[in-house]
Amino acid sequence: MNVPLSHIPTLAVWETIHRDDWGPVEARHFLERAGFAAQPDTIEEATDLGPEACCERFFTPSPFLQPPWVVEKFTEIQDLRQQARKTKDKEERSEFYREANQISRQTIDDIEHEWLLRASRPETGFSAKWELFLSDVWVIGKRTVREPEWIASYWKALSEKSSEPYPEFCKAFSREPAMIRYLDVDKNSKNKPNENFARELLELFILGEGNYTEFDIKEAARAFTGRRLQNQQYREYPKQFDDGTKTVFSRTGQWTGDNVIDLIFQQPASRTFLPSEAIRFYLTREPITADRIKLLGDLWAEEDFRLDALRRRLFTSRAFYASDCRGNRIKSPIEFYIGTLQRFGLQPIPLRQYSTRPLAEMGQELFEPPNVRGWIGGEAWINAGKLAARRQAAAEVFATLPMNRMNADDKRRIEMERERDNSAPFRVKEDELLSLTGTTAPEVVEFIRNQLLTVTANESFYQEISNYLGKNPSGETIEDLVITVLQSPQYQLS
Amino acid sequence: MFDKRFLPRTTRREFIRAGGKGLGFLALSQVAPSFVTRAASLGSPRPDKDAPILVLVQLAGGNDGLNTVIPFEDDNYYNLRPTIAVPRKDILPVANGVGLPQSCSDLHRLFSDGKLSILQNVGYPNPNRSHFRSMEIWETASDSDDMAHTGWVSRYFDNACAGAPEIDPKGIYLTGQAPQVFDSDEFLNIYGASSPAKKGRGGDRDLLREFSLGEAQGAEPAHFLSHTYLDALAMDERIGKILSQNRSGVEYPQSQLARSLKNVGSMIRSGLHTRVYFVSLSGFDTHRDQENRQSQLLKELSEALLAFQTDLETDELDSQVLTMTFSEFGRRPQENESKGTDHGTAAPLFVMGSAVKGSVQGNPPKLELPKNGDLTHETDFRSLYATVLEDWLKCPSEPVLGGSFDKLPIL
Repeated sequence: MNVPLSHIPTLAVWETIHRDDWGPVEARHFLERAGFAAQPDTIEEATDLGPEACCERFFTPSPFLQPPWVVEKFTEIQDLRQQARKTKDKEERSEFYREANQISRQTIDDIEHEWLLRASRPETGFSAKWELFLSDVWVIGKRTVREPEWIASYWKALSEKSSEPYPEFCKAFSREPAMIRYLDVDKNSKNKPNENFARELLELFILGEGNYTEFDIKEAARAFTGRRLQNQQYREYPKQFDDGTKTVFSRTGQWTGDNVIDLIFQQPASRTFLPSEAIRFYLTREPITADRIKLLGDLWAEEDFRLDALRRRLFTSRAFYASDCRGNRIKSPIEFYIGTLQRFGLQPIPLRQYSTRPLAEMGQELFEPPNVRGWIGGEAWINAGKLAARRQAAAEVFATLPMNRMNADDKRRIEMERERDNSAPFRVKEDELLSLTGTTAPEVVEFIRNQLLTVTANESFYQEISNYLGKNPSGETIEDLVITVLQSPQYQLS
Repeated sequence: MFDKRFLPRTTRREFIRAGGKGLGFLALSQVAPSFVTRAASLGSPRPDKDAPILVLVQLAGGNDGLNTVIPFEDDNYYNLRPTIAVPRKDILPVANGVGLPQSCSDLHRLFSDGKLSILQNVGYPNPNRSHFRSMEIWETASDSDDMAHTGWVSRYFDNACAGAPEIDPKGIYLTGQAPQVFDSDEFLNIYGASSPAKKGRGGDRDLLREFSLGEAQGAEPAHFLSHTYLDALAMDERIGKILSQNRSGVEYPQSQLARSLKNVGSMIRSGLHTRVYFVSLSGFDTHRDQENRQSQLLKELSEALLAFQTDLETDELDSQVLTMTFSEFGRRPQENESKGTDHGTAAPLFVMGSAVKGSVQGNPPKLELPKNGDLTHETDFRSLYATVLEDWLKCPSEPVLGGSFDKLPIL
């Protein structure tokens, strides 16, 4: 489709892109944006499938479960805490707590690795990205939550609820222990209300700023009282619940939290808020006119606010494939990193110094958005320091993993990972690279054009590449070139 | 959001014009990178050229302190380490009952010349034995159970160097990854000079520049990316020039650490206003066959430090620079079954410079321990940071360290 967004008539903007307008270019755009990277075989498949079938094919339900050794840690941590509570000696007791904390931190590292693994596998990557989007709305931070079991539960819930109607999703997440801890729901009681959660529910999760009053927040907060975390589990305490009448959006009743969520979804802004967030995350940061957003919201409401309906609508719409919505989005560090892994058939390394640490240097600390608003994104992803980290990360893809300089624990972790089912290489060796790129200059240029760059870079870009390669490029030249392409401004766009 | 002031109009135009005429980067470099332009236009005063500089030398992996500063008069030492103890005859004494191994003969020389302080038993309460976590504690200067996530050096920058935009990076690291000492919530001008040769970051810098110029006329955000890239590449260029043009007259040994310190020397000599440099030597995780491995590493450290100090003295820059080592933890006093040592706790460290009082601070470690017991720290590492901050960098330490720590009489 070669039409800019503004030229599509408003009433047609969310219509499904016509089959005649769907080709490899559109398929590729879908794969890069809805997922992390487009591979030649999936481009072909997606071209044949068409946009609607793609939304089914690439979003197959797959719960995000933790491997046994992570689940075991949950019990181990609880046991250590129990021992601590039973121990009288102060010094000994804090030793138990310290060990529990240490294992907690390691376990969070492990869960992060599992998430990166889920994202890096093409069969789960699309779902992982959609969950990442929802986690950028329903934000939690690992440094506040600190409890690995809750963090795992939160991500599992994201994987299970991400196709449900959004009101049901909201009700479920208002009971997620990680959310309860992050937004102080467990401090919210009849006598001492805490408005933190209610405020974010209205402002950042469902309606957006300016679509509620301070009074609505106060009253809504009362409906979420009595929710506690007891023995790691979510519990409701009727005694602490404020069962009096509340008036939310001018409706008075003995509302519960769930009632309040239903009331919020009767506000018109609930129709447009999440779709706007999705557009911002997936499509464009340029403002879209209010009538267009309203139309999208109305269509979504007709489909009972189903999350799968929202993504289907978005990813099949003519707007999604508008010419000015392609190749102009700066990849987030996670998109840059996971996309690169996928393009070379790699998997993340299970050591934080090689995975989450570089991500943090690039400006995106996994499971820890800067605040409850989530990541800022866009141009904020790039400055001199973050750019250096991206360049470094690109070069690392082709560097040998320094096993002989590794600590014994780290070596063991690497070995363990290699023995897992479906494990993939961590790094690209030169001969493996050459089998992907080919060895002649025209082959290499085609590889870069078709498999690395989503953006149709101008011809001078490919001219530079051809000049660099010369007639008979060496393996080293090809490797340097591929690294430089991954470092290029063009590759940072999708 | 991205600060649009970073893109002065003239610079934008220059980029477009240069790109349009297909000029090379040399023409472009007539146009200063945007932060240079910005600093100049604001007329900000250049900071004091003779300001104190700190060089951090990280010994990664956990250096075994007992075989570095050896308590050779304590029989327990020899009992705890039947195979890996350093024989008495091979020890270079420095003070009351402690000495250095032969591999540290250069450090011994520095000590004799009064340019090296040795701090005994440095650590922190509730020691953590995970490499990553313990290093994080040292680099963020946090409590063992605290989850602080900004580096102590970046907090120093926030407290002491805030305000005027600075052309030169405030901190430079010569390691592959950015060290956590520089981690910050805000944008800080930190530069990674891993190996700023042409292919320092992998890939090809000239080609990357061409790619970047190719987008200089593009629409946003490509234009923004192009501009940021060209800035970053200009900095690479500048540091590259400094390293090739400010050669030292002093012979450095052939080792990675020596190369890093030689580069630090060149950058200091060039008059960069960078206040903190970070270099690293790794491989200290000696669980087995420790003897040779650690000797080689200590030799590399020792020789590189002496060469660096000599280099600074030759150019009379030594009064401006303080260098200190640190490691995430020491190792277990009792050797293990594989002629190595396991993760431990407190350890000695070195502070070098013409300004230090060459002395041994603190007592030899107490080695009457339960079976496979650990050392107890005597000096909190944040006491050293407080000393360096206040007595060297002239900056109040409490806001940086989040608490008050006793200073040490080493400067």
